[in-house]
Amino acid sequence: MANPEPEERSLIERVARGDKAAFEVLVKAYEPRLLAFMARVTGQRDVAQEIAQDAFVKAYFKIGTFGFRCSFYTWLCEIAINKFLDWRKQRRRWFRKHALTDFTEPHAPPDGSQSPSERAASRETGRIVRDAIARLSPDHQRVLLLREFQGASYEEIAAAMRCSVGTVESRLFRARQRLKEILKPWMEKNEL
Amino acid sequence: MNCKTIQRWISLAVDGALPAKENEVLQEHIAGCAACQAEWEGQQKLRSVLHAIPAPEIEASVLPALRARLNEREARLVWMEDIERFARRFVPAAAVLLLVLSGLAVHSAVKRFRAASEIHLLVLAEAQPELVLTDDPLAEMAAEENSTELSPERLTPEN
Repeated sequence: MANPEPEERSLIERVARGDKAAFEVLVKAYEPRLLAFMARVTGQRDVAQEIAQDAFVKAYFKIGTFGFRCSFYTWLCEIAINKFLDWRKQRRRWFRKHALTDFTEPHAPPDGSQSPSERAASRETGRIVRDAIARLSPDHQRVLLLREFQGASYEEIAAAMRCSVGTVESRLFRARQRLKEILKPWMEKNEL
Repeated sequence: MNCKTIQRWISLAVDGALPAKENEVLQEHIAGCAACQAEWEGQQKLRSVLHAIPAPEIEASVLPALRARLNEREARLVWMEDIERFARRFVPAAAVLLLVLSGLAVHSAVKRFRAASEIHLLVLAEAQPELVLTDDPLAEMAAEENSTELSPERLTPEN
């Protein structure tokens, strides 16, 4: 069971009673981190914002099920990852239905520190790695994203996903083995 | 220590989740095993690749759009609750009323059908009494007596 700060616990309890002002305090506290997390996961600014919004909306209406089993932020990230997996499934279905290939490239705006060719290489790396992650099973993606992109501990991940720490260890191990296998062609050529 | 266990320990060690004692055993094994050494380097490389993925900076807040969505969703929930309250209050009464009305309609239809059947039978009885079936055997015999058709028994040489 997670032990939130008394102030945060009080805010969450108020949100459960329908206090929107309390919810806005939580949003302001976690929005930057959640947006950064989703930006890394999706690689697309507008998609990251949309998914973050969806995650906050769901968190507001489902706050009664939170139960303080993990930190509020980890719970929020888990909701966001599930929203992201749904979004990607729908997107694939749409492209398949219209017999199109998804050529959209996730891209970050130039920050002046990289040359155009460096930026292109960086974007390509991001695309390759995200596509590889997308080939893992949903549970493997969840543990990997929570661990690698959000830095959650094994205990936090186990609480958020309602499984044991041993299961988290096992899933992470398998996810990394599988990911290494998928990325092997690029890693061997030092293209990543 | 077998390589299969070591490779699982490598995954824990990368996360800093391997206890110190096991970590010593791991490092000793890696020093003497090329395959596990390669696995260790592969996991380190994978971690640095994952952490180096570029991500766009997002400065705009989602709060304004979030407020609008929450308000819209709450308005929809209130509307749905109103419908539900209305249904809970009036649907049972409406169902009873519907049953009563249906019963009355059926009763009325049956009455009309019976009345129509009786009229039809009366008309038929006047026109062709022999065709009218009754449950009364005496009435049947009387109908037969009144019938003008000669029965075979009546056809005697004297007639």
